[in-house]
Amino acid sequence: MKLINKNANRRSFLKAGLFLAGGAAATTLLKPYNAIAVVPEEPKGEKPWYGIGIDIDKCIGCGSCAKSCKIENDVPMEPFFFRSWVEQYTILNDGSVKVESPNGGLDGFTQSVPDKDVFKSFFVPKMCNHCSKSPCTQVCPVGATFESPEGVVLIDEKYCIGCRYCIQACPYGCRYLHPKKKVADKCTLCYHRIKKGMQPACFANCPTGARIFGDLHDKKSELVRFLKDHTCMVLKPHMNTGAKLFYNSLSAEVR
Amino acid sequence: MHLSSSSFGKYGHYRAFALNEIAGKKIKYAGEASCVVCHKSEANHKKKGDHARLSCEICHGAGSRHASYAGNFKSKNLPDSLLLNKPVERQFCARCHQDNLARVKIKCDTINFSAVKLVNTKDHNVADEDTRLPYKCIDCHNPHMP
Ligand code: HEC
Ligand code: HEC
Ligand code: HEC
Ligand code: HEC
Repeated sequence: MKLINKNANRRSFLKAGLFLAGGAAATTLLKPYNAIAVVPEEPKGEKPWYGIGIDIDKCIGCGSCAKSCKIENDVPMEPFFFRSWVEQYTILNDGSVKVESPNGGLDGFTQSVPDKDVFKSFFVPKMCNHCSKSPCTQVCPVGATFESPEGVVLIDEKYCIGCRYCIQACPYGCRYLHPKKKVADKCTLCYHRIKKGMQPACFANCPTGARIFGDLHDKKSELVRFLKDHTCMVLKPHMNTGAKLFYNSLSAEVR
Repeated sequence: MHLSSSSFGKYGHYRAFALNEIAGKKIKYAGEASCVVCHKSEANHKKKGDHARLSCEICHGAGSRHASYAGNFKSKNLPDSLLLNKPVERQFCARCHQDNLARVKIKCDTINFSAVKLVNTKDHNVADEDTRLPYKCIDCHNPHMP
């Protein structure tokens, strides 16, 4: 497949994309910032529609999720490529915010600010939000990235031309260019595991139950229960991405 | 340019075959249920202790190959390619148990509620007081039933 000198088309495509994104943001500003309100258009039918819950109160920053993700999915070991990683936020008494993620949290964390200077500190595990209105799939010029019928955002390696649009478009920084395959790469919610009825690796290897994987369609699922029992929030709700990753105890400082 | 494959557009603006290709990838983390079949005593210990919720593979690493093939070896001599980690170093336990304010969820003068019990691994039983020999955590705590 040859796709060169398509820059002109790409540029106009990007312009259109930006225009759309702006319009979408404006409409959601009118809605209250409510986790349920920002999940739009739940598809009807019997099929599962997967979502994610993360309980920041339970996360101990051991990095088992980040580590198991790299191994399960053959993510390159260099410290710039992650499908799943952990950040430590520290809000200092002087009001400044320090965000650390040494090697994505893969090797664990050590507290870098002395207790006396800390106002509060917490860990935030990050990964693809599997948005139902994902900006990343909308900008793909070749139909190589898409949302599966189960609500999982995937990449077709054979079709991806490595143009990096989607990497730019993701507001959560969840995509990278695979250094060897030269195609975009991202979390698949361990599609190969969930299709066999297993938990994604990062969920199976969480020691505290801070990560909850489940079917948003199934009103009896652990995930729906979690959403009922906690005050959850998505990241960057104003961007109207339809994110399906819900955080309990998300502080306003988290970007 | 041949952009379209026979399955393109079946479910949406993408190649439907891609779904099966992605779903067909190999699994590396077998899950605790598969370990239990051959390692009953470790599993029983763990079930009763404070590490009950820790999956075996958090500590021992991805065990899918091990779980599939270790059964072929009756002796204790597993080939290297099937051996799993045995994380005996203090540093490993510290990943979860080292003091860190981000692990303390409610802190006031009298209560420290944390999601996990914390110690300062730099001074919690570092070495034997008489012999000065360094301690590993597992000299005192059974990793399967700490
Ligand atoms: C089919 C049986 C079988 C299954 C399933 C199995 N093991 Fe093993 N395992 C063995 C045998 C055999 C040995 C080597 C003999 C021994 O130490 O008992 C072994 C040894 C080990 C060792 C010690 C290795 C060493 O370096 O001394 C660990 C740790 C271990 N297994 C963990 C696991 C974990 C974790 C799982 C689940 C992912 C698992 N095993 C699944 C059969 C199995
Ligand atoms: C908290 C981390 C941790 C977890 C969780 C854990 N192990 Fe272990 N395991 C260890 C360590 C550390 C050793 C090495 C102990 C030693 O050398 O004394 C070990 C040793 C073993 C051995 C070798 C025992 C021997 O006599 O050589 C086996 C087999 C084993 N574990 C199986 C399991 C199985 C099965 C599970 C899940 C049911 C499990 N472990 C869960 C940390 C863990
Ligand atoms: C992946 C994270 C993790 C690792 C690694 C880990 N632990 Fe734990 N540990 C936990 C969790 C979670 C608990 C349960 C905490 C609770 O319920 O209070 C726990 C409980 C304990 C307890 C019981 C504390 C109490 O009195 O309630 C001890 C002791 C302990 N671990 C020691 C160890 C030792 C020793 C190692 C290294 C071999 C180790 N842990 C490795 C996560 C971990
Ligand atoms: C010399 C034996 C010994 C060694 C070595 C040792 N511990 Fe302990 N540990 C104890 C005893 C005894 C207790 C219970 C009394 C106490 O809190 O000091 C304890 C308590 C704990 C607790 C529970 C603390 C609480 O607040 O209830 C944790 C967690 C723990 N140890 C982790 C570790 C880790 C991690 C290591 C290695 C870095 C380690 N221990 C090494 C003997 C030991």
